[in-house]
Parts: sequence; C-alpha cells; structure tokens
Amino acid sequence: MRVCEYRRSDASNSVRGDVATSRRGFTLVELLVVIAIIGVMVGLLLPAVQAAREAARRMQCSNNVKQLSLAMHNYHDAFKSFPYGHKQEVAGQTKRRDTWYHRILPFIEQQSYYEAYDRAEDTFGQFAAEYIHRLPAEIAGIAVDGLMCPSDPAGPARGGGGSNNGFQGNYAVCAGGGTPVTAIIDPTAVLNLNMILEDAGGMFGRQRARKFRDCVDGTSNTLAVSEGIIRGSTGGSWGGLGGYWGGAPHGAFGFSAGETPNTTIPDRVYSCKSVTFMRAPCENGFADGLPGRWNFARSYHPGGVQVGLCDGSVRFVSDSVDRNTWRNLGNRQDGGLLGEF
Amino acid sequence: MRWLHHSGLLLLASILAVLPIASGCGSSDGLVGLGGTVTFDGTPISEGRIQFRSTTGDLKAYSARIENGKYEIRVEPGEAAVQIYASRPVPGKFEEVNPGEKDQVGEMYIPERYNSRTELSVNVEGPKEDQDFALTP
Repeated sequence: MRVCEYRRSDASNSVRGDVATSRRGFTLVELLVVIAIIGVMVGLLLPAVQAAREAARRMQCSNNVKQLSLAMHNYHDAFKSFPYGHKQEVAGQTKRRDTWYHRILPFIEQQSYYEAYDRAEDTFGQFAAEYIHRLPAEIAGIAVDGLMCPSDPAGPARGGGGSNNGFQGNYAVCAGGGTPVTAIIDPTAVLNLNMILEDAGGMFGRQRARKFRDCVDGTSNTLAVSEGIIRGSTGGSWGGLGGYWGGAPHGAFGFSAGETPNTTIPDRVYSCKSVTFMRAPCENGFADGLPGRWNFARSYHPGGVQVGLCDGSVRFVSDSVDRNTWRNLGNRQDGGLLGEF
Repeated sequence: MRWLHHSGLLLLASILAVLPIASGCGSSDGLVGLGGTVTFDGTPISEGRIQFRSTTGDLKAYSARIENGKYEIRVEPGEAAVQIYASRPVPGKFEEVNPGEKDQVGEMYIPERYNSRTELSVNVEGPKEDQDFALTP
C-alpha cells in the first residue's frame, strides 16, 4: 500500500512517469552484443588507419624519388650528362669525396645551400675543405627534407661519413647489378658487387659522368635512384647508404642491385652504425677484412622499395621481384630480358 | 529460448572480434626455418655469417648471423649453396684509410672453399633444427 502511494506521488512529479515504467529497456545481453559489434568494427578500422598512414608516407617517399629523378634530368639538360656517383679523390684537391648529392643541390631548390658549400674553402679554410667530412655541422649537417623518407624513423639523421657532422639521407644512386667473377655462368658463381669502381655496370660510379646515350638498355629499363635504410639517427660509421659527407668511397653514394630489395644479405661498408639492425643487416668490411663495398635497396614500406628509373618514372618494386630482372634493371647495358617488376 | 538466442549472437560477435587478430598470424612466404651449429676446427664460430643461395630459379640468397656457433635462418626450400664467413683482427696491424684515423685491420679466416668458392651445399626439404656445419682449416 505504501509502495503504491509512493509510486503515485512519484508519477505526479513526472508527466511521463507511467510511460517510463512501461517502456522496455535493453537487457544486459543486448548491450553486450552491441559492445561486441562496436569492438569488431574498431578492430577492423584501427589497422586500416595505420595502413593509411603508411600509404601516405610511401606516397611522400615516391614524390621524393620523383623530384630526384627530375633533378637528374634537369642536371643532364644543363651539363649534358648525369652527375658522377662520387668524385675520384686526388691528393691536393679540395672537397675530396664530393658526391652526386652535392652536384644535384641546385636542382632540388637548394641553390643557396650549394653556394655556401661551394665557398667552403673561403669560409672554413683549406684544411677543413680538403675532405668534405671535415666541414663543420653548420654546413654539412643541414638536413634536406626531400632526401629523407618519412617512413624511416631515423631522419633527420647524421653519420655515414665518420663523424656525426654530416647529414645522412635515404636516397642513393644505382652503381650496378653486379658482374660474375668468372665468365662461366655458374649458378653458384660469386658476383662481384663492389660499387667502388669507375664502372660497376650501372649508371653511376666513381668520377665517370654518364649520359643518356650510355643507357643502352633504355632509360625505362635502367635504375637511377632508390631508397635505403639509415640504421639509426647517430653513430660513427663510414659508408652507410646516404652518408653523403665523406662516406662515398666506402659505399655511401650508391646501392647495388646485386640482391633483391630488402634482402637479408648484409650491406658491406667500411664500418657500420650497427651490424644487427632490424631490416638492414650490415658487415664491417674493413674490420672484418672483407673485399668490396655495397649497400642494398631497403625500406620500411611493407613489401618493397620506391625506385626511380632513368626515364624519370617512379616505381614500387616488390621484395619478391625476380633477382635476374632486378639485376638487369641495375645494369645499363646487359641486354637481358626484363620480367615483370 | 530467448536467452539461448542471445548467447548465440554473443558467440558470433566474439568470434568476429577475434578473427582479424588471428588472421594476422602465420607466414605465407614459403620460406623454411633452419638452425644449427657451425664449428671451425672443432670450436664454435663466435661471430660470423652464414648464407644460403638457391642453385635453381633466380638464385636468391638468404643470410643470417652466427653467434656463439648458433644460427637461425629462413630460406627457400630446394638445393642451396652455403657460404660461411667469420673474421678476426690481425694483431698489431693498423691502417689509415680515412685521414687521421688508424683502424684495426681484420682478416676473414674461413677458407674460400666454404665461401667465395664454396663446396658446401644442402638440400633444404623442410624445417630442421640440426643443420650443422663442421668446417676444417
């Protein structure tokens, strides 16, 4: 009786009182089902959002490669040849170990940077300007955005040229696809992948500046630019890919197409930032007494690398590309048939 | 009966929730896991590298580190040529390749019949944990 009274008085306070008591609510199970369904949808969406972010980074990286490829073409228009991979060292000269990166600066809208570099001897003295890795960080350490792949967490990085003075980027030019050590085509024959040659088979090497006419296989069948992995933001090393400031004669200027992208075969440079870096194993070529110097195309993009061909086009090449196709892409006059890539 | 219907729905929902997580596991790259011990002159190689190169198809190669004589690697099934490298410093030998930096010179001490002119080969048929190599000087 009391309860009844209470209800009545309660109802009198609310206009919708009676309606509310008669309205059917959700059961616990129904709510749980709804929550579970929302959970599933979030579960589906979250990885997709992560993938979208990586897709955006890959697109930016692809744009970087495109800009570099166009810069190469503009350089060719101006100087009637591509830049050299790296400069032949000559005793007594300044700016020893200069690379394609420095040559291309005015063509990626870094004219004033290039001019400051060009005046290095006047600004920093003859001793500092003899080797480019002796130049102080205020000139060598300037990071150029267009040379950094946004997927590599190392950027903006320093290293590759002995100290932590010089900027290290993600992009390198193609030295070649390796040549068999013996003339006999033996499946187990070891390829000579050494890049520190005037001609390692590709478009870029020591001192020799090649022209479009050297690209006998055709510009759309020959690699020009690829990306690589930096192996951390800092750390002394000579020759890690992209170590433009002094690492060139130890391998930093370029990459070899002797092994497929993201291979487990280690890069072999003078000295590594790390020999056990995830996705980018490395060998200390000098300390381990190993012949030849090379870097391979590597990336953080799932499944492959962004490369620029000599015709200026940008392609995403899968890790599972046929090795012979990849090697033939690296060599400029192999005459070999290209498979799908 | 109604209760039963709901728990069926719930079960379905939870299966759906687990599905995307479960499907992310497991590899489909066709590679096979190998492991084992590498010794040189009876002693385990403390630090080095091992490489398997398929002798068929496009001759792809796979490499892994040897640490304290042990290695673990994932390779393509089939015939493969094996190369093994290990190095040590040459006592008292330094060279100045980069100006102002004297660096310790090293040497690769494994004979060339195990690497650059390898005579080692294996037929990879499936996962194996005792693919051992005993090298002699």
